[in-house]
Amino acid sequence: MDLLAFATSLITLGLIYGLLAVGLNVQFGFAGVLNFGYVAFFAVGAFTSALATLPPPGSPAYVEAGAQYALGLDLPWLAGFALAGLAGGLLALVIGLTSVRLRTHYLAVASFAMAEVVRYALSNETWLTRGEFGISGIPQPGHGTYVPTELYAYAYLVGCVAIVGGLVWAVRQASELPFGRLLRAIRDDELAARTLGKRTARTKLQALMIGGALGGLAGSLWTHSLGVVHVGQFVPIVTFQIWLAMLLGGTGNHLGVLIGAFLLIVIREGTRFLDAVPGLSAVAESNPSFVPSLRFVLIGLLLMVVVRFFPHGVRPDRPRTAPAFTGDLPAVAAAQAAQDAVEGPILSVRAVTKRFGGLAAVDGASLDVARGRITGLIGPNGAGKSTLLDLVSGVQRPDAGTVYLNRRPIAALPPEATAQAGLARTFQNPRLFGHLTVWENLMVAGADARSESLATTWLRVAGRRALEHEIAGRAEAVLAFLALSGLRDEPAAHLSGGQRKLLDLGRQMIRRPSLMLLDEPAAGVNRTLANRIFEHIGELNRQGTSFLIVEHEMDLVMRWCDRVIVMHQGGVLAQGTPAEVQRDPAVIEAYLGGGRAA
Amino acid sequence: MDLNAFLQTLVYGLALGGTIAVSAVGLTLSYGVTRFINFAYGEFLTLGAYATLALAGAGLALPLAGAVSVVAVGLAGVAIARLAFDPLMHRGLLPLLVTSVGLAFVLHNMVRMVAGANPLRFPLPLMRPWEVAGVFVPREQVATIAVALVAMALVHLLLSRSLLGKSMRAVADDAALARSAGVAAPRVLAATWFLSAAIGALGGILLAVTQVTLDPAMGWRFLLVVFAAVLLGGIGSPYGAMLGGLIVGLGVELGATYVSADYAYAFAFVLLILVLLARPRGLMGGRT
Amino acid sequence: MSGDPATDPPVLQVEGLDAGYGDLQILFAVDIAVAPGEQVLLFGPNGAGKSTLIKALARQIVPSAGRVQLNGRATAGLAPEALAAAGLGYVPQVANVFTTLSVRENLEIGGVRLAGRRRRQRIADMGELFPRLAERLDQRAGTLSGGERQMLALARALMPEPSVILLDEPSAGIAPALVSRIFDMVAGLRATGTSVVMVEQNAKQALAYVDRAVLMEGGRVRLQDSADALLHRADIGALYLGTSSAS
Repeated sequence: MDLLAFATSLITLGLIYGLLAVGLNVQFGFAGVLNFGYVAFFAVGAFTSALATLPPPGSPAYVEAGAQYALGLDLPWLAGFALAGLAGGLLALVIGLTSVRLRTHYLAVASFAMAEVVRYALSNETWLTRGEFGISGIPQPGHGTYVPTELYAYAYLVGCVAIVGGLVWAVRQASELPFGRLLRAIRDDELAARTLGKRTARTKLQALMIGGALGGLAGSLWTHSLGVVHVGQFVPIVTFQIWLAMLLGGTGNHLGVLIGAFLLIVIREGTRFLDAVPGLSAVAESNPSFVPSLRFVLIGLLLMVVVRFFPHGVRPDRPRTAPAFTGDLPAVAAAQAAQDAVEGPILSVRAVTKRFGGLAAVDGASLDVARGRITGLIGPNGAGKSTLLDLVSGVQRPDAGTVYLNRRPIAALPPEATAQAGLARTFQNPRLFGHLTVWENLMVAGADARSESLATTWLRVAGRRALEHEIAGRAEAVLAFLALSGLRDEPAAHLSGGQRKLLDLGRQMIRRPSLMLLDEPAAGVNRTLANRIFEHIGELNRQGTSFLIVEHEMDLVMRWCDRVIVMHQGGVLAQGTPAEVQRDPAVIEAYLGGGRAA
Repeated sequence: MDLNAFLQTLVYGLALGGTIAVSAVGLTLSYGVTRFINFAYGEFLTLGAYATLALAGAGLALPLAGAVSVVAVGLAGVAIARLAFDPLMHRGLLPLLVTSVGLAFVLHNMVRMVAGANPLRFPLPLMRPWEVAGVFVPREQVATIAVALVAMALVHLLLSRSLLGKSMRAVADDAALARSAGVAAPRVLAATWFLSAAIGALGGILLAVTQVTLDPAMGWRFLLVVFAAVLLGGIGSPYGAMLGGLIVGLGVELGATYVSADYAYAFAFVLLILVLLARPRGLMGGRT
Repeated sequence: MSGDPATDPPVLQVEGLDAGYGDLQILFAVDIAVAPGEQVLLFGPNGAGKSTLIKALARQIVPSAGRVQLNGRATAGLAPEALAAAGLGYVPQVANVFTTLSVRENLEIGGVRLAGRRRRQRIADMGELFPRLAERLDQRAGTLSGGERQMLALARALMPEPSVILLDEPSAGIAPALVSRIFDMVAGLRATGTSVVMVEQNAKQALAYVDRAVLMEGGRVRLQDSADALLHRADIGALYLGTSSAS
């Protein structure tokens, strides 16, 4: 019977820590936020739920218990539970707004400090929290009314299984659908996600709030299972135990993380029996803190060992396999009727300047990109070609000048907005989502904000499936078009240089942009593949897509481009047909070097 | 406002500030060369204080015990870094951060296993404070300020005059360039860890003197204060860390006296978060 | 002072070098030999692998195949600092000075392996070679102009009297009017006996200063000849624009 009670409390604890670890996993494993203050959500949830459900001061129950707290809302347990989640989510919002500005270890330090500030507040605002003494007599739902006392622990466990199971299922659901796929993409390369038109800041914030809410809910489950809450329960090592649970289980894999939490609890509670080890008990008598300290030493060592030797955990996050697609393949490029209504050049750049330090990388450049044509952009190293693409696509903001896409000014827009306006941009070194498969890279690119929304994820099940099927169709068409179907389940990080270039092109194609800016699509690619890439470009162009291509392989430029623009020292040196440009003495001079061509 | 009380607070603030400044220099030095924030740094403080206490208990004079401890912790720092951090140097930031946290728990709980959890104190003789124009100036605090000043001057000389110091600054500035210019980076790294740990140990000894007692969690608790100073001054910059330490120390003492003693250190953390928010780019140093 | 490539053993000999980034191979079987005191220009179109070759020689990237010998000694397996000790100087294209250190400290780092007296002597030598630096010894390198930075980078690399220095686009980011000054400085290195391997975009201008030039394209050596001979070839311009390179 004693063993059964022990096992029950162990499993309950494991479930609560599992919920915490899943919450941290949403924040770190999916959104990539290095939160070293996760315990704060746990603490805020626990106190919120306790204060919400306690009988008010002065009530008979209060007097009878001889209690001394200042606030009790006497709400039903479910309300306390919900408020705990809300409190955790709101705290995450604060941390999230910070994380927009901070990266990596600065965020780690700031979140660590934030948790300590929360702990200071909980410990010093004794009127509310009773500080180190804490609050006892926290109501346990149904205790003594629906469930007899001797069975309560078992009933609570059953409740925890249902609640934690339901929450983890919902989170797992969101993680495997477009919402979670986008999060994993952002973790790999946020800028690339933005150039695909994703509002990454908002998506990350949502993930942080889900993670924070789960921490708050876990706090509620924990405080009602104990019936006591005090600030000493929420010291920093709790955060790192949750980290340990997540790392043990396998970052990015919710079920693995849940297992990790159970492993952690078994190890942690198992060390309670250290007292029984002969010899240790004698030492423990002379130094009462010996055994508790030894337990923390073991947890610290375990953390180090796991990071060093088992960085992927017991259930590593594995590449997903794409579902088979059935149905008709759509066309790879969309009809361009709508945008052809606008006349004139598709892109106009006027007197754009960008300085780095004292040096003007782009210096008053003006150029037009013809609608429905392939325009080449050439020039020696350092002429400002890649910077110009950055300025047009919103990756960097120009110091001066304007850019128009379909007569609409876009120079001040961030990359996600230019992408939504119909622009696509590839990078010289393809910025793929390395941990995502080829298929997932395409699916992220093809999904729109509607299919990535949480409402679609959790509520509109039928609509969600229809959307996913439509995107999968486009992905399949792109895979077939680029002859990448055989690599669909390969993580992008495993691709060769040429395959990376192809996928990068495909990822922009699937969005059906009206203008594609390509930065050296054939660089570092063998000749056969380079020709193939340009054949694809030619085919897309026939179907209506306009192109601006930075390229230095001259024979490709000569063969494929309708017009060529030559940049030199940040400005436009010449433009015309390939043959005209090739004969231009100023262009030859620029390539061979020397002073500024007159 | 009572001027005497203000001056009194100022003296304590300077002593605490000097302690934080010294500690912050040690942390920022290792950051400059390794590019990660060592969460186990606080344990160098704890180890320094406890080693001094142990040696003093064995009969060494306190200054001598302190000096021996500083060197011993420095050497321990080199060994710890080689065992725990070097194998992870090429695996990115997270493994290093998490390992340093794990290491912090291991170290301060080992101290607790050996020395017990109860607060202890250095065997300092009871000294009458000096009375200067009506202000009582405890000699321990003056000694702390003096040692902190000397330590910072020595660090300054090391960094600006010695070839080792210049090599450390070169590696911190651009490690790849320093190596191709002929700087033996592994040796500089080991020297940096020695200095970081040794300076940390000194900070711990000063902390035990200014705060009268020492306990196994002292370094861990103090860590955020040190972080605040380091980040306030601009991470990786030793002179910034000195300035940041003084500002935080004075801020904490003034805040405790004039605002709320309960939140003295919380001010430092709030300051830390605000600084991070206000100057995230500048603090990044443009490199990761 | 420049040596005779026919008789002197080369300071730097490269045979069958392959290198790249990850899966991406950039260099294919590159062979180059540099004689003592010789100045060699690497030129060619964007993406030809010139900078990659310099980085592979400086072991900033690890070659996947081939041999590099410095003064007859294989450099494989040497750490960058050991390579510097063996007599190789490297001046990267950007970020080539320690901006937070003073000019003097930059030079001291360059001579980090020299004895104290010798180091002070070399700093004085560098002051004579680059008088502008001598006037600014205690200025922070981060406050120098672009041209002064290049001077400092060059001087720092010359401190230990290397047998060869690798220059990656010394004129990049320099105001056009100052470019010839940089080349004059490089040409002035003949007096020191140090060999130079230089990558330059301003190839036509640079050709006038060096002894020999190597044209690279597609990661391979396409041709090499004396600078004079190349300067007078009419087809080089066409080669650049790729018309004769279609394969």
